Amino acid sequence: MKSQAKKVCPTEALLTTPSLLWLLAFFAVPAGLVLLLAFRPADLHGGVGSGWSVAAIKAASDPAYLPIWWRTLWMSGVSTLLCLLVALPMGYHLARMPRRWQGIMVLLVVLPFLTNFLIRVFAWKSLLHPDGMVCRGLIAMGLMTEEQQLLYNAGAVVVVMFYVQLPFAILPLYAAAEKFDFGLLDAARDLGAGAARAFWEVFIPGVRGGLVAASLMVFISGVGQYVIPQIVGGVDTEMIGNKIAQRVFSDRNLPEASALSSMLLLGVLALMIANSLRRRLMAKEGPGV
Amino acid sequence: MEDFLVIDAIRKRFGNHPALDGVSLQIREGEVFSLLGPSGCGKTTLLRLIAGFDSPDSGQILLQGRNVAGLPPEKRPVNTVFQNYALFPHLSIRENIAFGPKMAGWARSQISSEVARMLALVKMEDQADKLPSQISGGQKQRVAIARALVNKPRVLLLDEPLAALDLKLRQHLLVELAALHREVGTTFVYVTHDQAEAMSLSHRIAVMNAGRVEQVDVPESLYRAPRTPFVASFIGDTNLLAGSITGTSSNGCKVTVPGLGVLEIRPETPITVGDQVTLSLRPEDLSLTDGKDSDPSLVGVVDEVIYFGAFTRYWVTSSNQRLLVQTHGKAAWARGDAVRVAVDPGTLHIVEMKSSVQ
Ligand SMILES: Nc1ncnc2c1ncn2[C@@H]1O[C@H](COP(=O)(O)OP(=O)(O)OP(=O)(O)O)[C@@H](O)[C@H]1O
Ligand SMILES: [Mg+2]
Repeated sequence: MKSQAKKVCPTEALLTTPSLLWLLAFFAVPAGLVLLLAFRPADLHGGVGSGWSVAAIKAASDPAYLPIWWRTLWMSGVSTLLCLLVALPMGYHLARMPRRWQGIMVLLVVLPFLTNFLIRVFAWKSLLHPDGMVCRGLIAMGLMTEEQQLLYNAGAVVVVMFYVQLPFAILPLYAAAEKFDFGLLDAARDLGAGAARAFWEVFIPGVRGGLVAASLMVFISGVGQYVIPQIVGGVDTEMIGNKIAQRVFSDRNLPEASALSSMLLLGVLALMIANSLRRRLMAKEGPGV
Repeated sequence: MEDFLVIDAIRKRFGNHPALDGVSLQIREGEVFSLLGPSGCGKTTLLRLIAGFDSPDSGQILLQGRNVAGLPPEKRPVNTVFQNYALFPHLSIRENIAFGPKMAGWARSQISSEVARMLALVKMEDQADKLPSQISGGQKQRVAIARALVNKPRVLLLDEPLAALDLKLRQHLLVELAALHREVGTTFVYVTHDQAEAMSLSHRIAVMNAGRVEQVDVPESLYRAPRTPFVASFIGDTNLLAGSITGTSSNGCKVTVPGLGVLEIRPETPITVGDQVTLSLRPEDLSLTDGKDSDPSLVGVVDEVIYFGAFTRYWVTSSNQRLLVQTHGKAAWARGDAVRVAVDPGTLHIVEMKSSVQ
């Protein structure tokens, strides 16, 4: 492939200016302010003191946060995995449906968005509540005892996260599958691959872009989550988002909250930069043999 | 040998539309067998049934005497070259060709040597590490063939492999394809809607029309002895003329054709006086003579003359019929000339017959 040094022509620069300004105003500036805040001292009235201090950074680096970081990662990871496992076959089947049905099904996928996010999470709370129908049903079937709980544990948090994020996984995967040439699956079968093997060897690489987009969307929205653990989680299912919320709302320690937020932000940014580097590298090298 | 691949009374409907309406064929081992017909006549449908992507509503497919009905595509010893090639975009040329052997679980060393052999066979060695998006249409077609042939299929199914290419390249690849077939000897089932392609490559051709097989024959016979009006007009150019049997002669019968007069014919099937027939007359079997002194009912007028270099074509109107006549060399007649159309005896051919006794 040709790798020419790109020259930016004046009109191109002009055209990208609005989106650059947009990014600057709504992303870079706020992120920069958060980062700055992390280096300020906290004052006793819940405000931000003058001068500079690394106290907030120190506090945020407390090893006591480590288990919470770890929990944030694994719960987001598991819910991302669940989302992909469901969204992948959904995307595949959606794309193979007659056109007319595809529109209707995509509408159904986004339909939950018409209900407020908090209301949906509270609906789950009442579903999983000891008096809710899921619990009663399981107890009636003898699969659960009265003493056991569905709510206030990591399982509940992951399940609700999975539910809330599923559309964000389905949409990019559907978009990718919709562009996929299903004749390639016939070709794979013709060359001796069974149905599952053809799916794995040809369909998955064919929708790789959608897979990466879906994983990033779901995972990133997962690590920033704090409402779901607060409502359906328990004391031992706090995520880093809960800690940040606590620092802001209860402790009124904005610098420490900013320090934690900055760490999260930098982690997510690193993930996205790694992804775009990987894509650039692949485009340059072509396939390995 | 006749029964290497047998297609037996296959029917296939899509909704209410019969895509295949009772198709039977016997394909011989090692031959290039073409399915020729216009767009939508069911060629791809038949190929997909042989490959195993769809199953017929009724009828069966036997490969070397074995019914393949229960076998999914991956278990059938046939491989396909798809109409759009269907190369895997994320794999290099080499990996595309290695796909089948990999699925079959060949040893690594065997895969690499067989892939190298196929790359050489289709002259793609120096492109082996490119992606399909980085090679030309003609090269994709060769890769698709190599990817299929490396699996050593009993039958290679080719679905209009040249249709997407320009004329020059098509003619070049046709020659390559014939050479390739001589080299590998695999049975080819070749789908095309281009009669010239089918005629030049095939040992035998099945002409299909609207889900049915009209005639199966060697190219020469399809051209010289078409058995239906459809075959006569689909294979090359022809004049289809209505005539009636008006008498018998020493070695056949007499057929009267408006504009051409009374002609002699030796019918292959029994025929009686009074029968109505449709005749096929190839343009090159007709010639023009001066019409001045002829019976006025047999005199035609030259409407159009087109000089092609090696031959000249005339369109002549005679008794309200338009006839296409082709002669060697440059034009001997001009527009408006009064001519008589003469028929080379022995080239007349009945393609349809309606008996008068009924
Ligand atoms: N999956 C399908 N669903 C509905 N109808 C179909 C399907 N596949 C084929 N048909 C119909 O069956 C008929 C035969 O189609 P087929 O693809 O076999 O034609 P073909 O001879 O290969 O034509 P072409 O030269 O255009 O490729 C057509 O009328 C087509 O519309
Ligand atoms: Mg076709």
